[in-house]
Amino acid sequence: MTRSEDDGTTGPVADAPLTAPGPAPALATAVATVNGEPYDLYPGSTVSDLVAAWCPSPRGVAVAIDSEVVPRSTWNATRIEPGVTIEIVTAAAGG
Amino acid sequence: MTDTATSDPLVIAGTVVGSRLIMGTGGMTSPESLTGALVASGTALATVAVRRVDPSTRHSLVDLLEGLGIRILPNTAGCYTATDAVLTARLAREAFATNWVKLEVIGDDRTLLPDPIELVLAAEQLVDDGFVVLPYCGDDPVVARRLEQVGCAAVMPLGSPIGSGLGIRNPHNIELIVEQAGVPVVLDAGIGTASDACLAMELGCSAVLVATAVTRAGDPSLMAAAMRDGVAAGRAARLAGRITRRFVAEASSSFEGMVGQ
Repeated sequence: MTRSEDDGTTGPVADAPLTAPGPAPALATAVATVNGEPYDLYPGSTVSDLVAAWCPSPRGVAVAIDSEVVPRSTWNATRIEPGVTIEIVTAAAGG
Repeated sequence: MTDTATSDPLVIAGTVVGSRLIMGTGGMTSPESLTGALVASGTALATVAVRRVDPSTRHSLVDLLEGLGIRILPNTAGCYTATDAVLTARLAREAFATNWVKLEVIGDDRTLLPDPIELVLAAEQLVDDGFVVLPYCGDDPVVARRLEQVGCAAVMPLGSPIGSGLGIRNPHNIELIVEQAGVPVVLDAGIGTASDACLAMELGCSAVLVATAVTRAGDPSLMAAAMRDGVAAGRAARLAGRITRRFVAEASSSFEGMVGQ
């Protein structure tokens, strides 16, 4: 995965936080599970941040937190709480 | 063959779909060959699975279908419980801005046959939640009736197991389902070649859903075109009204004026 934008932090790009808010270096404060993988959370991490980090485009994407769909209109305002389980899905060939 | 997509279109839940051939998208080797087959099929509705985002994937199936003007029918393929199917349908509604869903709840991982109990349960919940539910079901007329009773917009019985290409193993059951149904019947699963699609339409189905038979054919685009023509031929034959089957011959030419009489 690549960083969606330069947030001013240093260090290996591959390990850099994808959702760090603002220019100041931020330390991961908690972890959530995203599509079965551990995901570092930073203060204020929102669903919008997560989608921007994971998807080339938010089109055709949906998010569920703990098996509840998060409406697209609330992505900006929805903060990700520590320990939650998140699914980010899109269309795939099949069925 | 005349294109009947506009003169005799498939209508589901009051919405004009158009073509009576619904396409699956699984099993194709590239986006280019999928595009070729979709165009050749003349379809207006294609089903897609809902899966976790793969950050390394750059091509978008949604963009591909929308670019072709094909309506997206999300499915719940891979779900084994009503709970999983309902969540998948809700995610699909949010992702693709459609309340249509091809409901699939599998009960056995070897045959991929549907679980009728979980299926009806999921259908009921999704209908209550405002979905247009198109359930993939077995060829059991009682299950089909139950699905219609809980408010499904169509029923989609299998001809034979998914991807088997065994065709329609129990045509009589399909006829029974058609005869009792007040919603469109879509033959889903088991189609192997164009004559199977034709037979489904002759039996009175309103549409056919094909995936593997096209995507894994030697020439997917050519098979897609054959399926399109098979569906059109079967529909025309159904509307035309076939002759009654007879036990013995009935001469089609008159004996009057024969030589030597």
